Amino acid sequence: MSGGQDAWSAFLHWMEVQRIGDLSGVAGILISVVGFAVTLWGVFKSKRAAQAAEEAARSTRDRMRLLDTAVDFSTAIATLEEIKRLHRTGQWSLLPDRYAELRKRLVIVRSTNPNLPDAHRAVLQSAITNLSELETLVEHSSKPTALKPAKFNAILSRDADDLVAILAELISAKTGG
Amino acid sequence: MAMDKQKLLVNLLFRKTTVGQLEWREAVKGEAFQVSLADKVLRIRQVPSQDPEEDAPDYWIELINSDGKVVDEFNDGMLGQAGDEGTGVWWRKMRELYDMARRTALGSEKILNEIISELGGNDEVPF
Repeated sequence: MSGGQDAWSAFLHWMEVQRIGDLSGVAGILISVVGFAVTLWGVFKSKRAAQAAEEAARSTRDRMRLLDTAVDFSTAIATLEEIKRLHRTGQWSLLPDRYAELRKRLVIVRSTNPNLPDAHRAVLQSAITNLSELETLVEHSSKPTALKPAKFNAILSRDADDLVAILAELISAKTGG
Repeated sequence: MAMDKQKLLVNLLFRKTTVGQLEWREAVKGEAFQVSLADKVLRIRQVPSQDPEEDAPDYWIELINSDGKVVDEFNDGMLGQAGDEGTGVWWRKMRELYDMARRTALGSEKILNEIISELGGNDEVPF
C-alpha cells in the first residue's frame, strides 16, 4: 500500500513540476474553442442549407404561379377571340355569360398577382371595364341590330393585344429570356 | 368651395392630355373616351343637352371603380354652377378635353404629326 502511495505522490509531484495541470487547462480551452468553432460552422452550414431549400421552394412556387398566370392570360385571350367571333355571328344571347366569365377571370388574375405594375393593372382594368359595359349594354338591349359588333371587336382587339404584351413581358421577366 | 376636387381632376386631365401623358381609348358605348389607371377608369362622354333650347352638348366625366361600375359622375354645368367662373369656362375646357381625348384615341393626332414630319413640315417656317 505504501509503495502505491509513494508512486502516486511521485506522479503528482512530477505533474506539478512539469505544470501538466496548466497545460491540460490550456489544451481544454483550445479544444473548447475548436469545438465551438466546429459547432458554429455546423449551424452556419445548416442555416445555408435551410436558406437554399427555402429559395428553391420559393422559386418553384413562383414558377407555378407564373404558369397559372400564363394559363389564365392565355384562356382570357382565347375567350376574347371567342367573344369577337360571337359578335361577328350576332349570337347576342350567348354573350352576357361570356363577358361575365371573362371579367371574373381577369379579376382573379389581378387579385392573385398583387405585385403587377400599375401599367399592367391599367390594362386589366381597361378590359374589365369594357366587358362590364358590354355586358350591361347587350343584356339591356331591346334591339340587337342597333349594337355595333365592329366597334366592340376593335375595342376588344386592343385589350387582347395588350394582354398578349403583358404575358410576354411577364414570361420574359421571370425567365430572363 | 364646392366641387373643388372635380375641378382639379378636370384640370389635371386637361394638362396631362395636352402633353400626351394619357392614353385615351374609345369606350364601348356612345360618344365617349376613357383612360385606364391602376384599378380605376376615367371616362369623358359627350351627351346631347337635356335642355331642348340648347344646341351644344353636355360633357360628363365618369369615375369607374375596379369592378367596372360608374361610381360618380359630373358635367360641365355642375362645375360652372359650383363657382364664380360661369358655365362657359368649364364647357369650353371639357369640350377641348373631349376633342383631345378623341384625337388621341383615334390616332389622328399621331398620324397628323407623322405626316407633317414625313413631308418635312417640321423644317419649314409656318405661313
